[in-house]
Amino acid sequence: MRWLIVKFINLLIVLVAVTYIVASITSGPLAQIQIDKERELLQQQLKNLQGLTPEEKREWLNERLQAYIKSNGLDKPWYVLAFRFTKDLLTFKDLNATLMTTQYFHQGSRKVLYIIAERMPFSILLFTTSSVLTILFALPLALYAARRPGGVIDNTVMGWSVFSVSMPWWWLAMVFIYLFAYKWHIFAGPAAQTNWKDPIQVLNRMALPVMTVTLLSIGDSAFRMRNIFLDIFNEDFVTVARAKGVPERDVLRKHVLRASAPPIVTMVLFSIILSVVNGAIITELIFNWFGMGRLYWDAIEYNDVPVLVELTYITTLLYLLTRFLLDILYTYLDPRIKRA
Amino acid sequence: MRGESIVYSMEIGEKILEVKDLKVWFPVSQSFIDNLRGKAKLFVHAVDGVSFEVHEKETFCLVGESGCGKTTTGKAILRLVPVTGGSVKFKPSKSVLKDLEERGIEPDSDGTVDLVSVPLKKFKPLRRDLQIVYQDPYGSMNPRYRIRDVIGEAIDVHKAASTREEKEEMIIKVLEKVKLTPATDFIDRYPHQLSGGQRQRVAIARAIILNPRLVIADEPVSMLDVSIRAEILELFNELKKDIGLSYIFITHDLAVARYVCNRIAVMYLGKIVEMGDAREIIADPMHPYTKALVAAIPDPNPENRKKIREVPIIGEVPNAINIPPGCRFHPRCVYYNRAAKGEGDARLAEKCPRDQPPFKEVKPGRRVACWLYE
Amino acid sequence: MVKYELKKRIGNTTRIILYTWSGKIGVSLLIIFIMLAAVVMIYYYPTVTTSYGRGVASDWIYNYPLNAPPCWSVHNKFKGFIISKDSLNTTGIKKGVITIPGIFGPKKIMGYKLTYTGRFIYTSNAFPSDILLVTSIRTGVNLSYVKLLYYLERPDGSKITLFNSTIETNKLILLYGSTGSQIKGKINLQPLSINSINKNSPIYPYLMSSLQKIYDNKVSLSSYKISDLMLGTLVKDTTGNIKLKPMKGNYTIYLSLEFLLEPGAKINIEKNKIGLEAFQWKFMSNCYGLFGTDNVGRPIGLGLLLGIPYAFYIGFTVTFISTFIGAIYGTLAGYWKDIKGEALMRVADIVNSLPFLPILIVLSYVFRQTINLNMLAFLMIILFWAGPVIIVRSAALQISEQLYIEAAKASGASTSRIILRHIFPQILPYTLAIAVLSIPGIIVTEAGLSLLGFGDPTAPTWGKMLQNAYDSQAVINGWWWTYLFPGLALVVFSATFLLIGRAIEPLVAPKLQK
Repeated sequence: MRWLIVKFINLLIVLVAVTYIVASITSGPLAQIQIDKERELLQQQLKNLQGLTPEEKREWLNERLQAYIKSNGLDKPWYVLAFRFTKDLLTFKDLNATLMTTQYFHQGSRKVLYIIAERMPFSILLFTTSSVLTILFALPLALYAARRPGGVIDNTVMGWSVFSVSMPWWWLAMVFIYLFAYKWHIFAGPAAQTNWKDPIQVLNRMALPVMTVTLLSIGDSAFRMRNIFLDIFNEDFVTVARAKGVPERDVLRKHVLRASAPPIVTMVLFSIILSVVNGAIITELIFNWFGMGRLYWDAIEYNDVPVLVELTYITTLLYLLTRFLLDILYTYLDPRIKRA
Repeated sequence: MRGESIVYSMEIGEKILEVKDLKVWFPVSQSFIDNLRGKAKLFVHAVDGVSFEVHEKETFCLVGESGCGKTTTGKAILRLVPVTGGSVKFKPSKSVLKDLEERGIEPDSDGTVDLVSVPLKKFKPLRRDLQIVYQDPYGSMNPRYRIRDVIGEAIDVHKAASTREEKEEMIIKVLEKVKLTPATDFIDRYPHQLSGGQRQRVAIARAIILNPRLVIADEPVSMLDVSIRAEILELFNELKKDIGLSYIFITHDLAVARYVCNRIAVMYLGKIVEMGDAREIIADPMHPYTKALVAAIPDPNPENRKKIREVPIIGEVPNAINIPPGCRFHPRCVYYNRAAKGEGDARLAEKCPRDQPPFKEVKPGRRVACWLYE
Repeated sequence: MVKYELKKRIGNTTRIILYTWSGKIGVSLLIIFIMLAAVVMIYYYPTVTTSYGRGVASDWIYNYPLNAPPCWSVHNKFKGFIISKDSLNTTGIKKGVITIPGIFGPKKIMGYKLTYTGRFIYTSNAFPSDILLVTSIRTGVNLSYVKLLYYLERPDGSKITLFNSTIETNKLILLYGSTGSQIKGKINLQPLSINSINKNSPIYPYLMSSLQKIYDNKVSLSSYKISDLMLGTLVKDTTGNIKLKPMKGNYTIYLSLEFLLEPGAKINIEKNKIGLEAFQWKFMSNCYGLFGTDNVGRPIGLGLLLGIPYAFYIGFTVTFISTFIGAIYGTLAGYWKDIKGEALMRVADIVNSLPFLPILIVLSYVFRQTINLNMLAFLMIILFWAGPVIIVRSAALQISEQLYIEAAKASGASTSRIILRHIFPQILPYTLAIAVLSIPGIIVTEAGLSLLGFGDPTAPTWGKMLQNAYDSQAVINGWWWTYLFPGLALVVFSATFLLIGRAIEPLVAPKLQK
């Protein structure tokens, strides 16, 4: 229990720290947005007022605005403001987007949380599909490579892992889009009109990104799995099992796979969440995928700071939570780690 | 007893070190939650109230099994491990005293300083007077340092030489003193290019380069080949004669102790159980534990080679967290066990597991902590 | 002796690195990259690099074709050619009958005439990527009426008029060279790209109306390049589709000046230099070199070369500074076994679990106005320094448990001395491997940030090239060479360090592999 609590406290500290950093960077624009909104409101009211000279009107507006800034503490230094925004974020206080709206759900809502919620399923769909495919392909590949170290498969896996790590994913994505969508017309390209409510169309759009992400993550995953398998093949209990005359199939199934499950599951899942957090932004942008990654880009395009800030907060939260759950999963899978 | 002691009979000078009730307890790492619950903290009682004194030009030996706290005692005197309690009165040399006074540490009226109460930050000058030679000549030298750097480090740290030439001269001199000649051959070598014996000589050279008053020798020969042990022990004795060193010599081997020690203190589980003149203790051990140790000394007499020797001890050393109550040796003690079976002194059966025996002077210069000598 | 030892150690290290195949490939690639970077720094830095980085079209399009694919990938090649003033035939100034507009219709009077004709035979199956024109005419003093006729006659006799009107007198007319700047009295003419012709250009109406006449609404003119239309003809291919193909045959460029003299004036050809001063038609080839060019005419191959020093700069600064910081930090965290070390680890933990790309994006979004390469490097260092801390700490922990550390303490060595003289030198090789292995990640990250528009606006990095390709919709337009090669360069460059890293990894830290 103790490590669980420590990890959880750690998670909270990181979350607060990240949120504060993000809030302090963006506190200036965020405060300005609030002030601008208030000014608009006041100008509306001003229209209804009559019998004032332009001079007086300006004075009236300035007075109210200053009062608003004072009473809301928007004139405070950035680190104080950041505290407030951090609190707002952590308590999921409703933030409103400046320009962006939801497109499919809560038609036209300005709530940032809705905007994010509408995109989240698409990101999850894309990356879980590719993760499952990655594991399905990488596992047999890694097993085969580990059984014949130095063989053709092994060298291919090693070579591909070098390339997939040293390559920007989105670059390969560009090449694939050109080949598969524009040259050979096999899959729908990123410019295709898609109704994101229609599952068939979504699946059609998914083919290319899933293919790219899977192909690339196979390299690294298979390489790491291979190393884990290689270690286990050299363990005494595998040798003993073979010496006892256990058929090779059973050696693999009952001994090797069981022993390698905890590190492999964690490694794969962890690399996936890493790729979602760090890789999704650009991958989704390139494929024009209606997910959270592209939302980053859209927010930047629209200069929509509230969306950018809340999105970063949500991404961090998801990332940390998944990591936390993975830790629990790992200890659950590996009996050697005490759960005391 | 066979084998001649090579301890030089010499005038034993004034007292330079007085250890009183020294305690070193290491906390056992406990869970955060247990701490919150206020569960009692557990400690390893590595050194649990040790008192002795060392005189000028004396070789004082700490003897005991591994894990009995003898090395910790040595390191505690040097403040290399945190000291839990007690005092260590040390009489520094004049120049060290001056440096200490500059740092705001006033010596007591008898010119001694309590090493335990000196803040670690101000301890540096005292390191000139207190040095250590480690058991492991391989691990105690940075593998990337040349002999020049290994020995010269202390010179640099204490700014003992003003020029590079002076430093070089000092190093060569000390290498000659430990009989690594020609010194210029050794000065630029790496530790791995030396034999074990040569390396231990370098370790000794490192210890004596700044003319210390007291050197703690922590099993300095136990990792060496038997063939070169005698040479190194000889070197220790010679250096004592030449530059008037005192040693606290830590060893588990009474055969070695017999060669070099003036006085011996036998330690068991963090306490001294017997202390006295080296030759006397080996010839006539009084504490049951000492008896067992002496009985375990290999007998050089070939006539006895087919005799199966009986070592009067039972079981193994208990761990230092759960120290047995009463006399901490009683579960292993043959006298107690005999008494507990109703064969011996019935008084022991009752007393040993209940009360700690006092550390009593049974003869002039001989102290034993055992209920046998009540 | 010291020197000898050092030599031996370096020699051994090199030998072990070169023993593995990955080391061999990595080191040879590294040497090539270093040499190329040196070439760039000597010959191209900083003028070419900045102009490449800025990517202003006028710096490039007069010398390079736009969006030209690599020549090896093109079946129908068109090799560019130039028609210069020297290859024109001229009649000289001749007196004869000229037609001038009058109130009651055209009037024929005696005047002077000057004609230039240039011929070329077009034989290629492919179009040029562009035609660049330079035409400047000096009319001189004492002329009262000057008319310029300028057209291209095609093999089938149709004419594409470029100009047919009177022009001002007493002036140097830079008719079709766009903005010419005068340097020391000499005119520096910038050619006019026919394909990027401005609607305000004097030749635009003539050109468009004659093209309209030729193609007669059979195709939409706006879907073709103007240069293709000038040299093309509509052909039905085997499937019955109408396609624009080059019209092969003899073409003639015709330029004539008709003018009158002011009353009483005499013509002095020598003195006045009446006539064509500068002239050039440059037919740009439809492919360029091994790597092609991009949408502002920058050769991709040059960009690949120019990007090397920047890749080195960003990769090395970020990795070495952040690994150095991480190494010192990790050493301290390992050396202090009390609450101080614990606190250090907590902080490193926090930094390590930051989702770095989102934060980097927010940071660079906030600083996007002032972003430059150094700042980008700084931002990355802030986020990446904690990477090596865990490995370094465990190594430092292991070393600080060594007996010789206690021996140094017993000698009176201070904490700083122990860290700097005993622990840190042993940590260094570990750190080297970590640094080398993290270079690819840094370079890929920089490229990603460039793609998002947070790159240095003046540095021609490979990421910038990819961003340019992405922004110009190269994927949809089929300009595959604009993103294929920069990406490949990036892959090869990162792979170099990955290979070297894998070769030195077992050398410096056998336990690092897991």
